[in-house]
Amino acid sequence: MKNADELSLLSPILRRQILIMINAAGSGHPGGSLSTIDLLAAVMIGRGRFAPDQPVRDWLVLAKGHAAPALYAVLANLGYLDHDMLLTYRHLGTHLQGHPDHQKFPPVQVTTGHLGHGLSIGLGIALGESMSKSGRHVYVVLGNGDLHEGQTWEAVMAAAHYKAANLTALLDANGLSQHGPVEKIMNYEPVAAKLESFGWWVRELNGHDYGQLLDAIDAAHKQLKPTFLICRTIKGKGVSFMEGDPLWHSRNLPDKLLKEALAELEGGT
Amino acid sequence: MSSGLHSPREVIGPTLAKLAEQDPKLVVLDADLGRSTRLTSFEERFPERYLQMGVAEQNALGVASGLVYAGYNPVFVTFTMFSIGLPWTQLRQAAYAGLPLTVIGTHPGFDIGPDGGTHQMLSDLALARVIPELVVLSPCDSPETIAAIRTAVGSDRLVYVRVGRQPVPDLHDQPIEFLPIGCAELLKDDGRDCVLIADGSMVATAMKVADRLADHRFGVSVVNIRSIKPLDEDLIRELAREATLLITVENHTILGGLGGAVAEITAEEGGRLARIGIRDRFGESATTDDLRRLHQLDTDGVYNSVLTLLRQR
Repeated sequence: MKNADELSLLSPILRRQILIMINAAGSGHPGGSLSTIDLLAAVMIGRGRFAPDQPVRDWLVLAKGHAAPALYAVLANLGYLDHDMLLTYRHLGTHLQGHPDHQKFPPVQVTTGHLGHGLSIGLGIALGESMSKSGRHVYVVLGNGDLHEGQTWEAVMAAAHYKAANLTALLDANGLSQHGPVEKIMNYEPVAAKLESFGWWVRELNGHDYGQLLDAIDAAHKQLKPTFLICRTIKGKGVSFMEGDPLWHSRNLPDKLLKEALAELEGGT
Repeated sequence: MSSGLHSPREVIGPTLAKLAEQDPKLVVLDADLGRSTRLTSFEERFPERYLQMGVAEQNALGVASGLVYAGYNPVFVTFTMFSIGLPWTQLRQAAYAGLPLTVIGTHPGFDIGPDGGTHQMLSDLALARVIPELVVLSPCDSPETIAAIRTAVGSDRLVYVRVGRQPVPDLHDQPIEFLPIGCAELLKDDGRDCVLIADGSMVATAMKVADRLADHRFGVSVVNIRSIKPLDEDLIRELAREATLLITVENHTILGGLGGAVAEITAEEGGRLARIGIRDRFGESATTDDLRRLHQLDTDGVYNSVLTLLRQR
């Protein structure tokens, strides 16, 4: 467990690792990884039980699997892999696939990547853990594209039907799809009202504010139904030339720009 | 062979209930077709392990995948159009992730006749067999369906079991074993003028056809293929070398299913092959018997096709 101040100090380090990975791979999804990283850090380092020494671990399903570098950075911080291994991301023979792969790297708990699948898988885990009375909590981190997929709404309906209180979804609402603003690609707002009408407990918050993230996670644990945190974020957060620019959804980060980005992050976010 | 006819789907619920008595982690997922897929007896016996997912099959397969991660042994049961066709991507992802779960698809081919071409799943074997890691079983009668389900649930593999609705005679005495997976059964070994290779409900049809051809002094054997994937390649290669003619017989399109799989091997081995099945077209509303007659998949139709092929030698 880490508090909000500790996580704030950690955040630029995680962001730097994301950028170094994508630079070394020659491809990847920097924008969505940078918007998601604070959600993952709050869940996996701040509140949830994810460290290797935890006797009982919670579950993290990265529905937006293209943000894998963010997951790998957090797993590295938790001690599951070292810096050299991060540099193998997306290379032939790597454990660190372009999208999370449990079989190739077991510290990744769940294999994901196709948008729309993650919440269903998370719900299945939650129902199983509930039947087993294990006390394990399931977190699913979703992106905009997950809400465009119909399967996610099937899962939203089913989780409310089953009152899956051990399931918390976090939406990385960064406002940008690959091709442009979400509201122009396919508007899903007002998403909070929609989710509430399905029977979920919903909170909207600043997804880069660790205080808000930790408070919302704590509050979610007290509910008797599934919980949804709509985390308003900025795509490319922390690197000024990436922020809010959909071009950085999926793109290589050449050495020169990496250097600029790392220098900016050295100064803190 | 028993004289009565039985619909293999009738064994689904009772078989799963029996397995659940031994396996506390076995759970069944339904997509609101449990009456038609004969899950009611399971629901009554194990209501807490019967997960009703509604008409939302993509989510159902995703939830089944999640249950595997949580240590459960899920079985997803619905019409094959909705267990293989509709959530194909979710099935493919489960295979990629290496998740052991069982998917049962009922009402294959023309078995759902009157509902019409929209619901007749004629290409599930083709869709399933191109997915790496996925095991595809197509048992031919009720005893073999029990064995296939038991094998699938206990296998630690991702398995699709295609279960017929059309009543067929029991070709086996209970209990039978289905192991090893991928081992076909030479059900009738009466010569090599022609070998009929069939799956599912067409095995019984092939047996009747072989009996009738014996009257014409043709030596006809019948293979119950049982597993479309893995396929018993050794047996098919052997038969392709020995037999004058191989003929596949399936309640499915001749493209990519049993006929396609056997064609891939005989093309390499050099044997002569003909495929009997649905010829790259959709079905329409009619009774299953009428559709089989129309598409020459009833006993008379298959008999006439095989006889014509034999006389072309």
